[in-house]
Amino acid sequence: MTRRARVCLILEGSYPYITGGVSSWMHELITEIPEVDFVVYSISPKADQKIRYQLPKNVVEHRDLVLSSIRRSRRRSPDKQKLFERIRDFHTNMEAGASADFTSVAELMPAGYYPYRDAFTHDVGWEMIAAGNHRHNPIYPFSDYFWAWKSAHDMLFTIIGTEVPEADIYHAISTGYAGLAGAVAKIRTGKPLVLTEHGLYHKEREMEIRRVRFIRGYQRDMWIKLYDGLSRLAYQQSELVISLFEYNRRLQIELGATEERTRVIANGIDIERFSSVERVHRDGFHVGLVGRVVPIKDIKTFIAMSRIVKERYPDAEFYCIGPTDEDPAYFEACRTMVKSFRLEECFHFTGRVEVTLYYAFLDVLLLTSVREAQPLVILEAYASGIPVVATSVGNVGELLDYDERFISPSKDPQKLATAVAYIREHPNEMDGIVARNRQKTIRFYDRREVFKSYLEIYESLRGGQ
Amino acid sequence: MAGFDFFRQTGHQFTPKTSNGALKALAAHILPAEAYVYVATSTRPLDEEPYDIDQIERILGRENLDIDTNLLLMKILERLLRRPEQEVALFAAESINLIEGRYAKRIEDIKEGLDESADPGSVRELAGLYSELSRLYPPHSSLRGFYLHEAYRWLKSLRDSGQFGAEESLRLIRVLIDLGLYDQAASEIANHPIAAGEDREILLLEAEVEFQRHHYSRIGELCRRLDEHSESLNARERSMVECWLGVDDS
Repeated sequence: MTRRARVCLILEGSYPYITGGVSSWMHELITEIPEVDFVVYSISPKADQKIRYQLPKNVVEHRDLVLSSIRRSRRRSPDKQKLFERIRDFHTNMEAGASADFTSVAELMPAGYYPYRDAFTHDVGWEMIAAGNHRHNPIYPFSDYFWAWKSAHDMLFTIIGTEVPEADIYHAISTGYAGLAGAVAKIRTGKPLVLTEHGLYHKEREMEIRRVRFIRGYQRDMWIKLYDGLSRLAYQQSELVISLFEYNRRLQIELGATEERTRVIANGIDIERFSSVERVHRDGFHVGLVGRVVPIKDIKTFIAMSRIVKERYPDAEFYCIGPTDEDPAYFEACRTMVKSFRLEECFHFTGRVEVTLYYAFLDVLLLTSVREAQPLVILEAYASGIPVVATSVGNVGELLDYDERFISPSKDPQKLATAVAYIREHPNEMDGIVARNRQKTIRFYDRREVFKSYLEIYESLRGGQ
Repeated sequence: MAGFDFFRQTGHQFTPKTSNGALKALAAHILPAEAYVYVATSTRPLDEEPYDIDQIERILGRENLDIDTNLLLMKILERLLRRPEQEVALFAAESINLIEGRYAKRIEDIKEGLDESADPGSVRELAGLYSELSRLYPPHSSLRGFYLHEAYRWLKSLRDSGQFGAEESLRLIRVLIDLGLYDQAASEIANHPIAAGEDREILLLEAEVEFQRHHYSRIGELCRRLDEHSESLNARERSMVECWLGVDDS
């Protein structure tokens, strides 16, 4: 009897502690592939977080790595001088955009060795820090640079020094610290590494860093470069780099992923659940948005659009379908706006509900988000037989066949309203589009096929060992 | 003397990003004077295309931006929203959210305080914030209308509480004009504590209202009175007066 495959899922800041798109996907992946044993290796910013999911039976181990923890070294580097020379070469090559050899660095840093102090007490390490300061920060106090450098690097040392769980395959669910842990695992154990990116980690971090007031100047550049470097490293070390859609795959290749080792596996939905929705005609014109009431979903633009549509079609009704408790102040502002526009009678915040009840009668599904990767609500609407109007974010263009009639720039209620009106005015044409989208979704976006693809990947990588 | 393109000659030199950084580097003898001249004179207007995203971000990074800066940023970001590069459009959308979010946070903080006591100063500030927010959006947009109505609501509550001065009255007139409620604005001007003839700002508002109400004979009279304040009018105000008088500047 062959031993069951053991896959170590390496996650950062998500499953099983945080709910959301990536965590739900993780949970489904584990549940839908019962023939594989999973080790959940969670990289978290702090200890003792509450587990938000009931871990499936095939999770055979759950290990936590707390990024902020400082650990005591139990081992030493076999050759410290060589290690720091390799680190210096690694940095020089990374800065020059050349291929950097991380393998020889990781090989000289055994599990249990944390160079928090060695990194600046060793001559080569100190010279690197001093040179970095001279290049990036010569006009401000050295202590600023030193502590910024230390806070950035200590977390890397924690990741590299920590023993990875045993597994046949390592599967990182982002680049960043999870990707680094995956690269270290691959180098130490010789087992393959798969990387799946839902968004693009370094781009998301960059956006956050640029918004944070207390990270400025060279510190901002340092963090951005660090995250770019971590993504590049994960791309180089992975046997397979998976993205959700083509646009992101191209960006991965731009940052160093080898084209032949990249692949798109789109997310899928529960086709049976959504295609079995029984459509019922309800009087009036019903426009819905499925999503949390938070600024990133831009509910205010939905409300502004509703006002325009309502003026044209007095029988229109609007539904904001999703939880309202994540950002109470924003929800309150949205409610005030609804009241101010005198839409109280026709605009409904449903809260957390069973969405299929609404998919049964919606005439249009709207997406006003300013940021998305591959929005599953569009696929759910397609499978249920509902036309979609959406902002041009993430993979929306591809999902809407780049049909400009139904795609709008962000924050443009007028354009969205025009698209919604088009759907109302052209029922016969929309019947054809809806039928085509439904077929497309059933054929290409079946969740079971997605997880089957992952099982095949696991089997083929395990077979290659 | 070093050439002005010396930053491109080496990849390992400290490259200051602001003229202030370059000045410090010059004072510390890290970079020559040319570096300072290069950085300090390389600045160009923020709204000149192609837009300098880094510069926009640098400004967005500051928390307490004044309304003029926010207006300039919004003008640029509205254009960037329509750019075909997804990342640029995303940057624009998130930046607009950031600017609006900052106002929302300040409004939220004031409202929380109002739960405890209805301090007129806070209500005044709230009305001011809503009226600033409204100006960030294009005329006739729903969001602009929403924020104007909110500003109006709070100004009205201030009036109801008897805490309504000349400054609030001016703000209310502006809000009423922006809402297209010209008759109400005219009546507010008539009741304003300072007589229109004595105040340049009131004269301008009144002329704007009368222009919108098509009372052209009255505009001529107002513009003549405005002429007495001609030295204090800025370029925009002067061109508005010319427009109302139908001056052909060709």
